[in-house]
Amino acid sequence: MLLRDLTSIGGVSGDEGAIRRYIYNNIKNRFDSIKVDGMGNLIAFKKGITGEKKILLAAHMDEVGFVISKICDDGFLKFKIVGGADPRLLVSQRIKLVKDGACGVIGYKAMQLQDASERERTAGIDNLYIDIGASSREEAEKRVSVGDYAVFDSEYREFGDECIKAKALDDRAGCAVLMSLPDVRYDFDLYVVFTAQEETGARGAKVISETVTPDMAMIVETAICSDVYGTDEKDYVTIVGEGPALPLIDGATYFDRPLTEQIHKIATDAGVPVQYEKTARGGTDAGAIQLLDGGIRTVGISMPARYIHSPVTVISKQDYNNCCKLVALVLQNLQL
Amino acid sequence: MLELLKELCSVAAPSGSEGLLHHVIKREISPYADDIKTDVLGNLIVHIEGKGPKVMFAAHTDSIGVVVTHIKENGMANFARLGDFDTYTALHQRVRFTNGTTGIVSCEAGTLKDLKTSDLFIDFGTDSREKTEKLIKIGQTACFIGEFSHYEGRVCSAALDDRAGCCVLIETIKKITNPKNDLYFVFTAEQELNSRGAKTAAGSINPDYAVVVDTTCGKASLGSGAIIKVMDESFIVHPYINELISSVCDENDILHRYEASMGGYNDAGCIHQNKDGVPSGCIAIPIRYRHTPCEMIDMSDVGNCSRIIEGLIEKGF
Repeated sequence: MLLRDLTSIGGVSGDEGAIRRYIYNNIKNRFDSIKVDGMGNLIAFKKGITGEKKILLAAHMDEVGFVISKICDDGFLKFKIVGGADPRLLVSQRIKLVKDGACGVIGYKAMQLQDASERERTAGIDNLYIDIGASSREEAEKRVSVGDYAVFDSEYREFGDECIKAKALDDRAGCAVLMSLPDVRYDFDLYVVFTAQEETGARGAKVISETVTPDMAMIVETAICSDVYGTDEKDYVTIVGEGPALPLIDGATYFDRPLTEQIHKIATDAGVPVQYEKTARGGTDAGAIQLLDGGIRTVGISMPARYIHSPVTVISKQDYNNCCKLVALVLQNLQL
Repeated sequence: MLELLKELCSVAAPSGSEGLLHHVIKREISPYADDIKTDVLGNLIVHIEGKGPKVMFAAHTDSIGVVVTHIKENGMANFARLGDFDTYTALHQRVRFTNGTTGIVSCEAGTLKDLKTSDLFIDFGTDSREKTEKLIKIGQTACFIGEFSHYEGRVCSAALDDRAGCCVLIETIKKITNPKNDLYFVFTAEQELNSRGAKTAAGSINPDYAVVVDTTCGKASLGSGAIIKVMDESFIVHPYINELISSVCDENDILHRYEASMGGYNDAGCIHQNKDGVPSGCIAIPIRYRHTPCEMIDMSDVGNCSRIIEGLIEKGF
């Protein structure tokens, strides 16, 4: 099952190899050519019937994770966060070393031994460590090296009212949408790009223009979703179950309004639920892609996702399916 | 120039809606341009052909503004900032949307002491979401209303940053004869959102040199001359450009001062990093109360900036 497979693979920014291989093997027979560029972006190309225009779709392969920064004398590992995970949610999390799937936990001083001021603070990353059950530096060094990657240990689960919980839905969900595109040839040249290192500043996306300068770019991502207890309605941004979300503006991009309105109309005409991302925050590969060369018309289609950058990101199956539907409809009907 | 400046300031064109200003600019400069085009991001690029190295002049068309993020049950609209300004500055100001709708900015009870953008909302005089939705939608943008007034060369208005710079470029274009360089005048988009338009304009023009005309709220006082930026947060002037500007000022006896600061951004920040680098400079108009609905400048400073740009074109790069 595509989403289960994609979210189970460990692929932190800079270490996307395993995800790239999985995606390549899955899509290789459906494109005219596929290449990997110097940043690790996977770029799949399908020639258009007339090829007068070029359209680019993008989703990022990398997930937020950890890199081992030090092996301590007592066998514990110090680590750094790769990407924007909230350090406050790390205590007591389970992790997996990417290279061999070995388990570990993120630990902190026992609560019973903490004084009043420590109990009131959240543990900063400097006070946390990974425990892989090694009793000495020598034992740890047999199993792990500085620079090795780790990811949240969180299984794909379906639950509740057609919801999915998994790590890395940001943006394996986007990758899954791109991998589910209908296998048809369009009028335009199609570039489907699985980018690297988005979580560390859209670094993969920044070099895409070396391969192609498209007439339009569509970024398929997960959208901030805070329709939860304790959040005021004005800050929800998106609502789970109300359909794929169209970004208007975020911290890095003022999206193409006429094209976004067209996409909205395509959705409503076809009876596909759709919403807007009601925020001006965040940032995606669009931030880099829109500003390549002389500027590229850029839009986005996202899936509302609660608890992004945590081990328990939640999306709705329906939103995922409707997102797939809408992307296909847009490729069929968009007027550039 | 005063009438032109007033007209430019009267158009509601916050970041993302720069196209709304283009008809005014085109009307003014069409007879003088060899080519005029608009690009993807909303830059208006005016080309006056000439032999010699390519020079790009830039002034930004967008003003600060707000974008609607939510319409409440009671008809009030929450918003996010387009560009950087103080929450207290926005309070009780009138805003005009690009579709002509106006509203008033107010705040939730009890938030005055520590006012955040999320405490602010726009009141359209309606009492329900339904009524407000007839006027505006999520994502629509507005800028602040600030009446244009002047007294003995001092001008007060919203959007002087950087419509005053646009005025300088427009007036310069009208005076060009026999250019020594291949000239591009770019009325840039989204400067208030980190110079995104300047980045792509430079990306398509690939200039050999660039000079930006913007405003600065540094230490210089109004009427003390054009400001030559040596450094701000976004760039450091290229020595050749600095030299050139300096000699133009001396040769033509133009009142000017230098400014080095750790703060402030201008389009040169993005332009100078295009391709393998572009020697760039920035001439700035001193401004008081920048990014408020009542910005203030002195027309003599605008005049001196104009003379510098004209002098640079005359001298040639």
